[in-house]
Amino acid sequence: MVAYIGQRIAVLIPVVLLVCSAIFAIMHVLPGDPVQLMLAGAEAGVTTPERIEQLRTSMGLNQPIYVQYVHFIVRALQGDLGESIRFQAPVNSLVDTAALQTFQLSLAGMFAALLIGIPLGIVAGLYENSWLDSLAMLVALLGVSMPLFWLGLLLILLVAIHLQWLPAISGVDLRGLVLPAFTLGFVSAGIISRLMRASLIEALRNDYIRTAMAKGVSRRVVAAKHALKNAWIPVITVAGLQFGGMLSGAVITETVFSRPGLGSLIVKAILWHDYPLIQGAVLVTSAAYVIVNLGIDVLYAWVDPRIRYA
Amino acid sequence: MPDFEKTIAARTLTAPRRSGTPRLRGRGAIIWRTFLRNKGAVTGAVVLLAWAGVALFAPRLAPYNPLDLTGISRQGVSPSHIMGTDLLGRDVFSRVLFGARISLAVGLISVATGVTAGSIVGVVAGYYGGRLDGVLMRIIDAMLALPGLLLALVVIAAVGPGLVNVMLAVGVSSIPMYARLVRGSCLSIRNVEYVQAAQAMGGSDGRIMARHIIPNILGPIVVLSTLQVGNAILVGSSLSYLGMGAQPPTPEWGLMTSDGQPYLASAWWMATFPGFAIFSAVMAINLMGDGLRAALDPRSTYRYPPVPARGLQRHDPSHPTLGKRCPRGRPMPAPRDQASFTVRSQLT
Repeated sequence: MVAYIGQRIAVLIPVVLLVCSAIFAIMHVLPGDPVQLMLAGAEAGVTTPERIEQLRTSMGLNQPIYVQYVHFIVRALQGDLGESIRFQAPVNSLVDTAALQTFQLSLAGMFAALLIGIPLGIVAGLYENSWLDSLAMLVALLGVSMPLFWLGLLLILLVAIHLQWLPAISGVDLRGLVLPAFTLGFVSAGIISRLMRASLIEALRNDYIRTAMAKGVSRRVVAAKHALKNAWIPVITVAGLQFGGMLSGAVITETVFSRPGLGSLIVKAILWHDYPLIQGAVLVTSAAYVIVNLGIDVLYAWVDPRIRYA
Repeated sequence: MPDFEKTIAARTLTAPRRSGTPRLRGRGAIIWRTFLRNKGAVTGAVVLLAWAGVALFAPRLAPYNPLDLTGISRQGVSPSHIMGTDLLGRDVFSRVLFGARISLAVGLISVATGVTAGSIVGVVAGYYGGRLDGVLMRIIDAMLALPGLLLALVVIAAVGPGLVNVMLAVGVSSIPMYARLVRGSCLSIRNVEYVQAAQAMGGSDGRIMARHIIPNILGPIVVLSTLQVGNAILVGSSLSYLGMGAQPPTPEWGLMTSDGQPYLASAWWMATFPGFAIFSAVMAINLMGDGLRAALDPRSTYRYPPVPARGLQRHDPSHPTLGKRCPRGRPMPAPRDQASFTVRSQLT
């Protein structure tokens, strides 16, 4: 198991280095003076030659590009992401606060996705071709076809404005988290329910199910103990991948519900041309995504030992 | 089941065919029929055609110019403005109709970009293998280290906001998916006899890839591309919603939704109708793509003409599937009483 984890991490090292390089390249290879672009975006155009020169020096932009590259990589590996131009504050602290919010939202979104997706998928799988099955498939289709921001707005319109059950803007209490979590989890709920259904139907066709039935075990016990246990494995993988994908959905969800978080931070940073902030936030997001996926791989190998020897 | 055993179940016995139905001719006909039997897929295709018609004839269909101020600000739904007016008094219905042009173009162009670039990377990696494959796949892995929308955002961060850049960004963010698919399919056929034959005849690598490999792995590429058009519309409109894509006053669906959001409580029509347009177009594409996938998948292909209830010879009334119609879009289920026999190969 340790060897397996080590092998997986070894594969990730070049990937992370490449991501760092790509993010560095975004800022330096493209035409245009990044300093002027940044000042125009972040400080609303009040630029003096002194300010430009000062920024250029403080960001090390007057050094040769390979020196800058090595500096960037070394500092990033040490966990220093530089300083935001717009906020005049270390990127680390901005990203840390935002990441916590996004993590909370992703967890809530995953919870919502599992809460809807798993029961729906099980019911659809047990009663194949019934109306419940059709309902589950409809939810899955809606999930992949609805723009997240539209779903969020419809929920705000219906639940927050008309029915006034829940607040649209997230405050301190958890009630404000319900609508964003549901919005974020809806896509994954569809995907999870579809997979749960297929996996359960597959499991129910096995010989050991027939054996159990022949022994006189009740339908309920066969479904719960024999079929479901074997149906979980692909669902775990995909649920994990979905959890990583929540980082992507969070960009939209956080904007719709005006929540602070990594997603909305990246969007704002791009609109402000705040390059150090973009670099830092994107780097942290991709690191989180890669680590989540690694965790899923490990979990998968733990649940199904065959994977380790493949 | 060991692979030297092939169980031929009773399902291979051909069911009686309805007289009068034309004989199925070739695989194309089977695919076409399977597709037509899928109600969802046909509905999707019809809705999609309707949107394509709207995109083509938007200037004739729209009651107003999408950029003209034709009414008072935020006027509700009425006979003269069936989807109301927006903040500036422009007709929302006309803007939604014109938006079809932009969204369909974003979907098609970005998919074309992604599929072309991704297929080239994939086929080169799969065909040459070795170190080149290793390098290309590490780059693809690095691209996959960012989930879809974020990769598109990073591209936008580099090239700046705008509609053309959105197409580029969405296209680039789908490269890894195509590259992996094409590489995988390419690996599975690169050592088949006809490829070896082409090599033996002195065909150049480029020609072999273009004439022998790509045409034979086209099926999965077509299916993925179809489904991806819907996703590209979603991501494209999301980018515009975030302010990274189309800029005002372009009648783009995502941008219109974002413009309407602050007035959700007082003028709900501004944000809901453009959002519904995105939803209906994407759902149509997804339904059609799913139907296409089911029709092209050899395992789930419908192979038997429907068995009519009338004039059917039912040898065994208790038989679970004999004489029943094959459920739509599914393979004929195997009968439960095992009328099967086993062929053992002597070659082991």
